[in-house]
Amino acid sequence: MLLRELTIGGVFISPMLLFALVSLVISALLRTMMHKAGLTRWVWQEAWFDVSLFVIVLAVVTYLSSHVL
Amino acid sequence: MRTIIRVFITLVLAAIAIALGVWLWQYYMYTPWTRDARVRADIVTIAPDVSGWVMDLDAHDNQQVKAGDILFTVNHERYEAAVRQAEATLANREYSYQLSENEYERRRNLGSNAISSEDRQTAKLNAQIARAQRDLAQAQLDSARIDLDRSVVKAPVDGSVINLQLRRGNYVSQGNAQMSIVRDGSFYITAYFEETKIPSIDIHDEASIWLMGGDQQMQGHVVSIGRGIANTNTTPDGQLLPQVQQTFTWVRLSQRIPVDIAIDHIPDGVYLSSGMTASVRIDDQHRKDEGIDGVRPQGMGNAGEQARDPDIPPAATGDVERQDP
Repeated sequence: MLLRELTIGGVFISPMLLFALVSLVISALLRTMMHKAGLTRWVWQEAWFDVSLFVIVLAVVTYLSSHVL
Repeated sequence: MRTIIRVFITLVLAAIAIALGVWLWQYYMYTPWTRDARVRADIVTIAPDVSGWVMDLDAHDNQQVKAGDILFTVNHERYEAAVRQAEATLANREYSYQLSENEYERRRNLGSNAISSEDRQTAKLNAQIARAQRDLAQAQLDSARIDLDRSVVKAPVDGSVINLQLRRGNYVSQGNAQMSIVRDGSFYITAYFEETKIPSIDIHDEASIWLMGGDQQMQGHVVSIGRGIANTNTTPDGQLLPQVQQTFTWVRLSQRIPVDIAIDHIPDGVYLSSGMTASVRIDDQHRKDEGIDGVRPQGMGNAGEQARDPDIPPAATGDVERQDP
Protein backbone atom coordinates (compact mmCIF):
# COMPACT_ATOMS: atom_id res chain seq x y z
CA MET A 1 0.00 0.00 0.00
CA LEU A 2 1.65 3.18 -1.14
CA LEU A 3 -1.20 5.63 -0.69
CA ARG A 4 0.61 7.53 2.00
CA GLU A 5 3.07 10.33 2.31
CA LEU A 6 6.57 9.41 1.24
CA THR A 7 9.72 10.75 2.75
CA ILE A 8 12.92 11.35 0.85
CA GLY A 9 15.72 12.59 3.06
CA GLY A 10 13.34 14.35 5.42
CA VAL A 11 11.29 15.93 2.64
CA PHE A 12 7.70 14.77 2.59
CA ILE A 13 6.16 14.32 -0.84
CA SER A 14 2.78 13.27 -2.10
CA PRO A 15 2.72 9.72 -3.47
CA MET A 16 1.14 11.02 -6.70
CA LEU A 17 4.41 12.74 -7.55
CA LEU A 18 6.22 9.42 -7.39
CA PHE A 19 3.47 7.67 -9.41
CA ALA A 20 3.67 10.37 -12.08
CA LEU A 21 7.45 10.13 -12.36
CA VAL A 22 7.38 6.33 -12.62
CA SER A 23 4.57 6.50 -15.19
CA LEU A 24 6.47 9.07 -17.22
CA VAL A 25 9.48 6.78 -17.44
CA ILE A 26 7.36 3.72 -18.27
CA SER A 27 5.35 5.47 -20.98
CA ALA A 28 8.53 6.91 -22.50
CA LEU A 29 9.99 3.39 -22.63
CA LEU A 30 6.79 1.99 -24.17
CA ARG A 31 6.78 4.77 -26.71
CA THR A 32 10.40 4.07 -27.69
CA MET A 33 9.70 0.35 -27.99
CA MET A 34 6.66 1.00 -30.19
CA HIS A 35 8.73 3.26 -32.36
CA LYS A 36 11.45 0.61 -32.72
CA ALA A 37 8.84 -2.04 -33.56
CA GLY A 38 7.27 0.22 -36.14
CA LEU A 39 3.88 0.21 -34.43
CA THR A 40 3.55 3.97 -34.56
CA ARG A 41 2.10 3.81 -38.01
CA TRP A 42 -1.09 2.43 -36.46
CA VAL A 43 -1.42 5.60 -34.42
CA TRP A 44 -3.65 8.32 -35.71
CA GLN A 45 -3.07 11.41 -33.54
CA GLU A 46 0.25 10.97 -31.78
CA ALA A 47 -0.38 13.64 -29.15
CA TRP A 48 -3.71 12.06 -28.15
CA PHE A 49 -2.07 8.71 -28.07
CA ASP A 50 0.77 9.89 -25.84
CA VAL A 51 -1.51 11.55 -23.32
CA SER A 52 -3.82 8.53 -23.24
CA LEU A 53 -0.89 6.19 -22.78
CA PHE A 54 0.44 8.25 -19.90
CA VAL A 55 -2.95 8.36 -18.11
CA ILE A 56 -3.44 4.60 -18.56
CA VAL A 57 0.04 3.82 -17.26
CA LEU A 58 -0.49 6.21 -14.33
CA ALA A 59 -3.77 4.49 -13.42
CA VAL A 60 -2.16 1.07 -13.67
CA VAL A 61 0.82 2.13 -11.57
CA THR A 62 -1.48 3.63 -8.91
CA TYR A 63 -3.65 0.53 -8.89
CA LEU A 64 -0.68 -1.83 -8.63
CA SER A 65 0.92 0.23 -5.88
CA SER A 66 -2.23 -0.08 -3.79
CA HIS A 67 -3.25 -3.64 -4.52
CA VAL A 68 -0.02 -5.49 -5.14
CA LEU A 69 2.69 -3.78 -3.12
CA MET B 1 -9.36 0.79 -44.32
CA ARG B 2 -6.03 1.31 -42.60
CA THR B 3 -6.98 4.87 -41.68
CA ILE B 4 -10.18 3.64 -40.01
CA ILE B 5 -8.22 1.14 -37.94
CA ARG B 6 -5.71 3.82 -36.97
CA VAL B 7 -8.45 6.20 -35.90
CA PHE B 8 -10.25 3.42 -34.11
CA ILE B 9 -7.21 2.29 -32.12
CA THR B 10 -6.41 5.83 -31.03
CA LEU B 11 -10.00 6.62 -30.06
CA VAL B 12 -10.38 3.40 -28.08
CA LEU B 13 -7.17 4.16 -26.27
CA ALA B 14 -8.38 7.69 -25.54
CA ALA B 15 -11.68 6.34 -24.21
CA ILE B 16 -9.87 3.89 -21.92
CA ALA B 17 -7.64 6.73 -20.76
CA ILE B 18 -10.65 8.90 -19.89
CA ALA B 19 -12.30 6.08 -17.96
CA LEU B 20 -9.12 5.26 -16.06
CA GLY B 21 -8.46 8.96 -15.49
CA VAL B 22 -11.88 9.29 -13.86
CA TRP B 23 -11.20 6.21 -11.72
CA LEU B 24 -7.80 7.63 -10.75
CA TRP B 25 -9.35 10.94 -9.75
CA GLN B 26 -12.01 9.21 -7.68
CA TYR B 27 -9.50 6.93 -6.10
CA TYR B 28 -7.01 9.63 -5.21
CA MET B 29 -9.52 12.24 -4.16
CA TYR B 30 -12.09 10.15 -2.34
CA THR B 31 -10.21 7.26 -0.80
CA PRO B 32 -10.23 8.23 2.86
CA TRP B 33 -6.57 8.82 3.47
CA THR B 34 -4.66 11.84 4.58
CA ARG B 35 -1.10 12.98 4.91
CA ASP B 36 -2.21 15.48 7.49
CA ALA B 37 -2.23 13.55 10.75
CA ARG B 38 -0.47 14.12 14.02
CA VAL B 39 0.40 11.98 17.00
CA ARG B 40 -1.20 13.38 20.12
CA ALA B 41 -1.20 12.47 23.79
CA ASP B 42 -2.74 13.53 27.07
CA ILE B 43 -0.66 16.39 28.40
CA VAL B 44 -0.92 17.22 32.08
CA THR B 45 0.46 20.60 33.08
CA ILE B 46 2.01 20.80 36.51
CA ALA B 47 1.53 23.98 38.54
CA PRO B 48 2.44 24.39 42.20
CA ASP B 49 -0.43 25.07 44.56
CA VAL B 50 1.75 27.34 46.72
CA SER B 51 4.19 30.09 45.90
CA GLY B 52 7.83 30.22 46.84
CA TRP B 53 11.29 29.52 45.53
CA VAL B 54 12.21 26.04 44.43
CA MET B 55 14.26 24.38 47.13
CA ASP B 56 14.78 20.98 45.53
CA LEU B 57 14.34 20.00 41.93
CA ASP B 58 14.08 16.22 41.58
CA ALA B 59 12.71 16.04 38.05
CA HIS B 60 14.85 16.40 34.98
CA ASP B 61 13.89 16.90 31.37
CA ASN B 62 12.27 13.89 29.65
CA GLN B 63 12.39 11.94 32.89
CA GLN B 64 10.05 9.01 33.25
CA VAL B 65 8.01 9.52 36.40
CA LYS B 66 5.45 7.47 38.25
CA ALA B 67 2.33 8.94 39.79
CA GLY B 68 3.29 10.25 43.22
CA ASP B 69 6.97 10.82 42.45
CA ILE B 70 8.28 14.10 43.81
CA LEU B 71 8.94 16.62 41.04
CA PHE B 72 10.11 19.62 43.00
CA THR B 73 9.83 21.15 46.44
CA VAL B 74 8.83 24.72 47.09
CA ASN B 75 10.53 26.30 50.10
CA HIS B 76 8.24 25.50 52.98
CA GLU B 77 9.64 27.40 55.94
CA ARG B 78 6.83 29.91 55.72
CA TYR B 79 4.24 27.18 55.50
CA GLU B 80 5.73 25.42 58.51
CA ALA B 81 5.53 28.68 60.39
CA ALA B 82 1.94 29.07 59.26
CA VAL B 83 1.14 25.62 60.62
CA ARG B 84 2.75 26.48 63.96
CA GLN B 85 0.83 29.73 64.03
CA ALA B 86 -2.41 27.92 63.31
CA GLU B 87 -1.63 25.35 66.00
CA ALA B 88 -1.00 28.12 68.52
CA THR B 89 -4.19 29.88 67.52
CA LEU B 90 -6.08 26.62 67.88
CA ALA B 91 -4.67 26.08 71.37
CA ASN B 92 -5.55 29.61 72.29
CA ARG B 93 -9.11 29.21 71.02
CA GLU B 94 -9.42 25.86 72.72
CA TYR B 95 -8.53 27.36 76.08
CA SER B 96 -10.85 30.33 75.67
CA TYR B 97 -13.58 27.90 74.76
CA GLN B 98 -12.92 25.90 77.90
CA LEU B 99 -12.94 29.12 79.89
CA SER B 100 -16.30 30.26 78.54
CA GLU B 101 -17.68 26.78 78.88
CA ASN B 102 -16.68 26.67 82.56
CA GLU B 103 -18.20 30.08 83.12
CA TYR B 104 -21.41 28.99 81.55
CA GLU B 105 -21.51 25.72 83.50
CA ARG B 106 -21.07 27.61 86.74
CA ARG B 107 -23.71 30.23 85.89
CA ARG B 108 -26.16 27.68 84.66
CA ASN B 109 -26.29 26.14 88.14
CA LEU B 110 -26.77 29.43 89.98
CA GLY B 111 -30.22 30.19 91.25
CA SER B 112 -32.38 32.77 89.59
CA ASN B 113 -31.92 35.16 92.53
CA ALA B 114 -28.12 35.05 92.11
CA ILE B 115 -27.93 35.74 88.34
CA SER B 116 -30.20 37.38 85.83
CA SER B 117 -31.44 35.24 83.00
CA GLU B 118 -29.81 37.70 80.59
CA ASP B 119 -26.36 37.08 82.09
CA ARG B 120 -26.92 33.35 81.91
CA GLN B 121 -27.97 33.65 78.31
CA THR B 122 -24.90 35.75 77.54
CA ALA B 123 -22.62 33.17 79.12
CA LYS B 124 -24.20 30.46 77.03
CA LEU B 125 -23.76 32.42 73.83
CA ASN B 126 -20.19 33.34 74.74
CA ALA B 127 -19.43 29.65 75.13
CA GLN B 128 -20.94 28.95 71.73
CA ILE B 129 -18.97 31.79 70.15
CA ALA B 130 -15.80 30.42 71.68
CA ARG B 131 -16.54 26.99 70.28
CA ALA B 132 -17.11 28.41 66.81
CA GLN B 133 -13.81 30.30 67.12
CA ARG B 134 -12.07 27.07 68.01
CA ASP B 135 -13.60 25.28 65.01
CA LEU B 136 -12.47 28.15 62.81
CA ALA B 137 -8.93 27.83 64.13
CA GLN B 138 -9.08 24.08 63.46
CA ALA B 139 -10.09 24.70 59.85
CA GLN B 140 -7.28 27.23 59.46
CA LEU B 141 -4.82 24.69 60.78
CA ASP B 142 -6.09 22.11 58.29
CA SER B 143 -5.68 24.63 55.51
CA ALA B 144 -2.15 25.49 56.62
CA ARG B 145 -1.30 21.76 56.68
CA ILE B 146 -2.61 21.37 53.14
CA ASP B 147 -0.38 24.26 52.04
CA LEU B 148 2.58 22.63 53.72
CA ASP B 149 1.81 19.29 52.06
CA ARG B 150 1.49 20.89 48.68
CA SER B 151 4.85 22.60 48.90
CA VAL B 152 6.07 19.20 47.70
CA VAL B 153 4.85 18.94 44.12
CA LYS B 154 4.22 15.38 43.00
CA ALA B 155 3.48 13.84 39.64
CA PRO B 156 -0.27 13.27 39.28
CA VAL B 157 0.11 10.58 36.59
CA ASP B 158 2.69 8.20 35.15
CA GLY B 159 4.49 9.79 32.24
CA SER B 160 7.42 11.77 30.93
CA VAL B 161 8.40 15.26 31.96
CA ILE B 162 8.40 17.58 28.97
CA ASN B 163 10.18 20.86 28.40
CA LEU B 164 11.42 21.41 31.90
CA GLN B 165 12.61 25.01 32.13
CA LEU B 166 12.44 25.14 35.89
CA ARG B 167 15.71 25.49 37.79
CA ARG B 168 16.54 25.24 41.45
CA GLY B 169 16.10 28.61 43.07
CA ASN B 170 13.47 29.87 40.64
CA TYR B 171 10.50 31.55 42.21
CA VAL B 172 7.26 29.82 41.30
CA SER B 173 3.82 31.29 41.76
CA GLN B 174 0.69 29.50 42.77
CA GLY B 175 -1.22 28.25 39.75
CA ASN B 176 1.47 29.01 37.14
CA ALA B 177 2.33 25.89 35.16
CA GLN B 178 6.01 24.98 35.40
CA MET B 179 6.23 21.80 33.34
CA SER B 180 4.08 19.28 31.62
CA ILE B 181 3.85 15.52 31.68
CA VAL B 182 2.90 13.37 28.74
CA ARG B 183 0.84 10.60 30.22
CA ASP B 184 2.14 7.11 29.51
CA GLY B 185 0.21 5.09 26.97
CA SER B 186 -2.13 7.93 26.11
CA PHE B 187 -0.94 8.31 22.53
CA TYR B 188 -3.48 8.61 19.79
CA ILE B 189 -3.66 10.05 16.31
CA THR B 190 -5.65 13.01 15.11
CA ALA B 191 -6.05 12.87 11.35
CA TYR B 192 -7.33 15.94 9.56
CA PHE B 193 -9.51 14.64 6.75
CA GLU B 194 -10.89 16.80 3.98
CA GLU B 195 -14.59 17.27 4.44
CA THR B 196 -15.18 15.48 1.12
CA LYS B 197 -13.84 12.30 2.67
CA ILE B 198 -15.79 12.46 5.91
CA PRO B 199 -18.89 10.64 4.52
CA SER B 200 -16.83 7.50 3.93
CA ILE B 201 -15.48 7.43 7.48
CA ASP B 202 -17.42 5.82 10.30
CA ILE B 203 -16.69 5.35 13.94
CA HIS B 204 -14.93 2.00 14.60
CA ASP B 205 -13.52 1.86 11.08
CA GLU B 206 -10.11 0.24 10.91
CA ALA B 207 -7.26 2.58 10.10
CA SER B 208 -3.68 2.07 8.98
CA ILE B 209 -1.15 4.51 10.34
CA TRP B 210 2.35 5.21 9.08
CA LEU B 211 4.70 7.45 10.93
CA MET B 212 7.01 9.52 8.82
CA GLY B 213 10.00 8.04 10.56
CA GLY B 214 10.30 4.37 9.66
CA ASP B 215 8.15 2.17 7.51
CA GLN B 216 6.35 0.43 10.36
CA GLN B 217 2.63 0.23 9.86
CA MET B 218 0.37 0.55 12.87
CA GLN B 219 -3.24 -0.43 13.17
CA GLY B 220 -5.87 1.70 14.79
CA HIS B 221 -9.54 2.46 14.67
CA VAL B 222 -11.63 5.58 14.45
CA VAL B 223 -13.04 6.57 17.82
CA SER B 224 -14.58 9.92 17.04
CA ILE B 225 -15.09 12.49 14.34
CA GLY B 226 -14.90 16.15 15.25
CA ARG B 227 -18.24 17.88 15.64
CA GLY B 228 -17.02 21.36 14.90
CA ILE B 229 -14.33 23.56 13.44
CA ALA B 230 -14.02 27.36 13.59
CA ASN B 231 -16.09 29.43 11.22
CA THR B 232 -14.80 32.94 10.54
CA ASN B 233 -18.27 34.10 9.47
CA THR B 234 -19.47 33.96 13.03
CA THR B 235 -16.83 36.31 14.46
CA PRO B 236 -18.85 39.11 16.07
CA ASP B 237 -18.14 42.82 15.71
CA GLY B 238 -18.56 45.44 18.47
CA GLN B 239 -22.34 45.12 18.29
CA LEU B 240 -22.18 41.33 18.35
CA LEU B 241 -23.28 41.12 14.73
CA PRO B 242 -21.60 38.40 12.68
CA GLN B 243 -18.91 39.64 10.32
CA VAL B 244 -19.85 37.76 7.19
CA GLN B 245 -17.15 37.63 4.51
CA GLN B 246 -18.33 39.41 1.37
CA THR B 247 -15.56 37.96 -0.80
CA PHE B 248 -15.90 34.46 -2.08
CA THR B 249 -13.21 32.88 -4.22
CA TRP B 250 -13.84 30.80 -7.31
CA VAL B 251 -11.55 28.08 -6.21
CA ARG B 252 -11.25 27.14 -2.59
CA LEU B 253 -9.83 24.27 -0.68
CA SER B 254 -11.98 21.89 1.23
CA GLN B 255 -11.73 22.31 4.96
CA ARG B 256 -10.42 19.62 7.20
CA ILE B 257 -12.19 17.89 10.05
CA PRO B 258 -10.23 16.27 12.88
CA VAL B 259 -10.80 12.53 13.28
CA ASP B 260 -9.42 10.86 16.39
CA ILE B 261 -7.91 7.42 15.92
CA ALA B 262 -6.93 5.13 18.77
CA ILE B 263 -3.79 3.06 18.25
CA ASP B 264 -4.58 -0.61 18.81
CA HIS B 265 -1.03 -1.84 18.94
CA ILE B 266 2.31 -0.07 18.94
CA PRO B 267 4.93 -2.35 17.33
CA ASP B 268 8.24 -2.80 19.12
CA GLY B 269 10.81 -0.22 18.23
CA VAL B 270 8.30 2.45 17.33
CA TYR B 271 8.95 5.56 19.36
CA LEU B 272 6.01 7.89 19.64
CA SER B 273 6.28 11.55 20.46
CA SER B 274 3.33 13.85 20.65
CA GLY B 275 3.37 16.04 17.55
CA MET B 276 4.89 13.54 15.08
CA THR B 277 3.54 13.53 11.55
CA ALA B 278 1.68 10.50 10.28
CA SER B 279 -0.23 9.30 7.25
CA VAL B 280 -3.55 7.63 7.90
CA ARG B 281 -5.77 5.54 5.67
CA ILE B 282 -9.18 4.23 6.61
CA ASP B 283 -9.21 0.59 5.53
CA ASP B 284 -12.68 -0.59 6.23
CA GLN B 285 -14.90 2.16 5.05
CA HIS B 286 -18.05 0.14 4.66
CA ARG B 287 -18.23 -1.33 8.10
CA LYS B 288 -21.05 0.23 10.04
CA ASP B 289 -21.01 0.62 13.77
CA GLU B 290 -23.89 -0.12 16.08
CA GLY B 291 -25.27 3.34 16.37
CA ILE B 292 -22.75 4.89 18.72
CA ASP B 293 -22.47 8.30 17.20
CA GLY B 294 -19.87 10.83 18.24
CA VAL B 295 -19.26 9.20 21.59
CA ARG B 296 -15.60 9.01 22.45
CA PRO B 297 -14.85 5.72 24.15
CA GLN B 298 -13.03 6.00 27.42
CA GLY B 299 -9.29 5.92 26.94
CA MET B 300 -7.64 6.73 23.68
CA GLY B 301 -4.61 4.58 24.12
CA ASN B 302 -3.92 1.03 23.16
CA ALA B 303 -4.40 -1.97 25.31
CA GLY B 304 -1.39 -3.81 26.65
CA GLU B 305 1.12 -1.02 26.56
CA GLN B 306 -1.14 1.23 28.57
CA ALA B 307 0.33 2.25 31.86
CA ARG B 308 -2.21 1.92 34.60
CA ASP B 309 -2.43 4.98 36.68
CA PRO B 310 -3.82 4.82 40.13
CA ASP B 311 -5.74 8.09 40.20
CA ILE B 312 -7.92 7.44 37.24
CA PRO B 313 -10.31 4.52 37.25
CA PRO B 314 -9.34 1.68 34.90
CA ALA B 315 -12.03 2.52 32.41
CA ALA B 316 -10.26 5.76 31.59
CA THR B 317 -6.90 4.25 30.80
CA GLY B 318 -7.37 0.63 30.06
CA ASP B 319 -8.37 -1.59 27.24
CA VAL B 320 -10.39 -0.03 24.56
CA GLU B 321 -13.53 -2.03 24.01
CA ARG B 322 -13.51 -3.19 20.44
CA GLN B 323 -16.93 -3.42 18.96
CA ASP B 324 -16.85 -5.97 16.25
CA PRO B 325 -19.94 -6.33 14.14
